[in-house]
Amino acid sequence: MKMRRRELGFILFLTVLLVAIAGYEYLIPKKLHGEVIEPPKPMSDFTLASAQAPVTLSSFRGKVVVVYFGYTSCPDLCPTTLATLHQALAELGDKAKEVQVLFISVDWKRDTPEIMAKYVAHFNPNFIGLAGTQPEIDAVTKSFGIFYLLNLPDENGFYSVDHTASLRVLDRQGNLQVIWPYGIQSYEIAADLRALLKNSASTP
Amino acid sequence: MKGFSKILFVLIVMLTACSPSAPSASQPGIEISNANVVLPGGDAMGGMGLDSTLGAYMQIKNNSATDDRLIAVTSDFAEATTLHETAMNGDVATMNGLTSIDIPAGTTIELKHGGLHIMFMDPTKDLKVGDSVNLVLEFEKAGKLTVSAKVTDQ
Repeated sequence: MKMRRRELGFILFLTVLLVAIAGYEYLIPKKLHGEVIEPPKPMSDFTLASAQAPVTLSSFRGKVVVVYFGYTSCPDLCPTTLATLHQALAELGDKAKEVQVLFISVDWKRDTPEIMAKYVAHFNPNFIGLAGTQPEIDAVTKSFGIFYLLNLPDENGFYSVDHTASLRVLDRQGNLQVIWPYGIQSYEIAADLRALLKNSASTP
Repeated sequence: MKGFSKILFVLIVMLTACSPSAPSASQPGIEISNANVVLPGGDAMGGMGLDSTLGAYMQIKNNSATDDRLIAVTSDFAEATTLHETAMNGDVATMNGLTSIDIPAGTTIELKHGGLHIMFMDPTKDLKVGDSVNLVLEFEKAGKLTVSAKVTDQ
């Protein structure tokens, strides 16, 4: 009889423990995988050219917006990052409709809105590629805290571009909420997007 | 669920890491494995080989007792080929052109995303994922070595 009691006590203890763990997972906000901006920082609006029509940042209010700066002649980092973003959105399923990825070229000399559109389409048909003039790109990169530098051409006439490789994530109200480092994994992106979509209401 | 997907991810990574490395080419001194040319975004939408730059990645092992270096790469699918190294300077990615890549005696140098890589400019052939292409790697000591590389999407 005493033994039974002990067993019961143990089962009770296990149940309480499991409920506590489940409650913790559910109630405590999930930690985001990057530099969290607290409080979220309002971003100044911009309009840049896409292959279709000019695109204005504020038109995506209500969606979580991922802004990534790079260039299409980049064979190494940019394709990897865009492929990772695509993979993360695929993990989100239907929820991916509430996320907008913007790929902005810092290579204003070579990249046109048409090149950008063609480039992003290879990764995901819903990604939007944007390009601008030097003053436009200078203004947007400055407000987003992005560094870029067009290097001198090599003997083949090719030049590489140094650029900030992290990603900016805006909440549904258009405020900068988190900065993802280069090398972030698709499952981390998917987890963060789920949390961000849950945290803020779907209407601005 | 979150824990489960994490375990699944770790398992997949482990399986990938454990898959036998296929030697792509070897000759006395230099052994090259897992050579691949990456077609950004794959060819799900027609491939973008012709209007992009492509990167090639592999492991180069120097089995000999003397230091060697990779000095040039040529292919039959691009106008120009250069050696590059992507380096992170804090949060900023920089891509530096290199005249050679050192392969010290007894070491394996890995060409990988975000690090050393071979870059092909102005591709002349539209490649498809799954294609095999030949790269000719020229080493200072070991001479020229033809490497078979797979075209992959990442």
